[in-house]
Amino acid sequence: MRMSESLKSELKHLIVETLKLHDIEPASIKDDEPLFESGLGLDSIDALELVLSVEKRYGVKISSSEQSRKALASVESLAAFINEQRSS
Amino acid sequence: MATPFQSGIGDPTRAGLEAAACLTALGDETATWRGLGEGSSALCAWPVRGEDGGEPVPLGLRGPMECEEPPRWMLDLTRLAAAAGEHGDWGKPEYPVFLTSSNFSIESLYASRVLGREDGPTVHGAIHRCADHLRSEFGWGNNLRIISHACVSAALGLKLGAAMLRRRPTEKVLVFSFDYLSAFVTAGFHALKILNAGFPRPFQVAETGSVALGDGAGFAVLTAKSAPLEISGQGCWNEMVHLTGNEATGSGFTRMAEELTSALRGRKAWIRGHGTGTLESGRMECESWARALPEAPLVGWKGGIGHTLGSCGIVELAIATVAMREGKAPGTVGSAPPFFSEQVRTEAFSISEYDAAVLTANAFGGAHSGLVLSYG
Repeated sequence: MRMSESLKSELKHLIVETLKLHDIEPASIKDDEPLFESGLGLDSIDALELVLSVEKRYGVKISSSEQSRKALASVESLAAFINEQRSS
Repeated sequence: MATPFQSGIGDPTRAGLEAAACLTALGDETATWRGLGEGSSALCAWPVRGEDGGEPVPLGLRGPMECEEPPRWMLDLTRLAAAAGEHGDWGKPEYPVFLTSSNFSIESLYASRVLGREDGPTVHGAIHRCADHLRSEFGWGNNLRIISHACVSAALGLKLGAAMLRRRPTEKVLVFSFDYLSAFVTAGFHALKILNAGFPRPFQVAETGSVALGDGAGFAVLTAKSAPLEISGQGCWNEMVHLTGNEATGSGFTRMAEELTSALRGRKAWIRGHGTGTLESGRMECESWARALPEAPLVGWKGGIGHTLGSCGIVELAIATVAMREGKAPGTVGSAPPFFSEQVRTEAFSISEYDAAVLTANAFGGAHSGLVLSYG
């Protein structure tokens, strides 16, 4: 549980750093807040950068755009995806 | 003076189609039509970054994806330019050329970096230099326009070319297009995750979607005079809603399907859709045709040759002209039921009872285009 919280915090920092969202405090991103459209308002180019960062940092592989959309739905889903990939 | 044709949809878009040819991973337009008709696919799993390796992804290549000078596409283009040369004195005032591509020679810029050339990008390295070089190699005059608008590049060339037929002193128009793959392009699509290890299944209901990319080049000769086949209507529409995606309700697909249906003017048509294999676009495309022309058979050919990017509008037009001449259309290679629409055909079928074909192309940014190909 603690590891998951730590991963989520790490991911929030990664999102802010990767996408240069300087006016957003990582801690202000809610775990279940949508990253795209109605939530943080990221677009497909942001998704591309984020996917590359996540793959590089955590050694996981996102294999299709559908999987990418699902994993990047929120910080919570992204953390779950990384944990699942690491344990498989 | 009377105009040669009645207006089609939008701007004047009608033109006689004097000739069309292409080269794909399956061969020329006849070999490609035959191969697709037999359900063959030229797609193979190649390392996404060519010589530099990477995940194997489905590509339809006419040769190894290597950095080389002169570029690997030069021989193919020379062959096509020679065939086009039989139809006009291209580049002269009466015979304008529209040179279209989404990639042009982007691989040349990449090659200059990989090969460590100190003299910077090669002769093909920038679009205008590439065009100048081709013009010089093929003996074309200065009356040449460059069109590059992602995967509707050739489709826009056809539309603008048809409009130009109404201007003096134009007699014929050559639309010449090419897009050959390079690691630069394939790695880009791979990063977006729409090019992945999966082979494309256009229009199929599935968990995940995937595209294949392919080498392709071709040309079309447009004339104001009558011809056995004619482009009897064209349209284009850009949603400009997003960098890569379509408007979520599919309104762009719907609009284009409605306009092209109107341009048919009662002709009985079959449809060759864009059908790259991406899930959302495939669904929206199918749904738009299921509403606009539910009885028309719908096929997509990119499961056999890959998506030839900005040149797909010309490449697949050339294949369609063979289909219209031979009275048989290839089916949707690589896909199997269930589909997003019941009108999708997987097997080749007789088109003797049809008067026209609707051919569409779509691009990043929500760009939609299409034309009606009919008997003159």
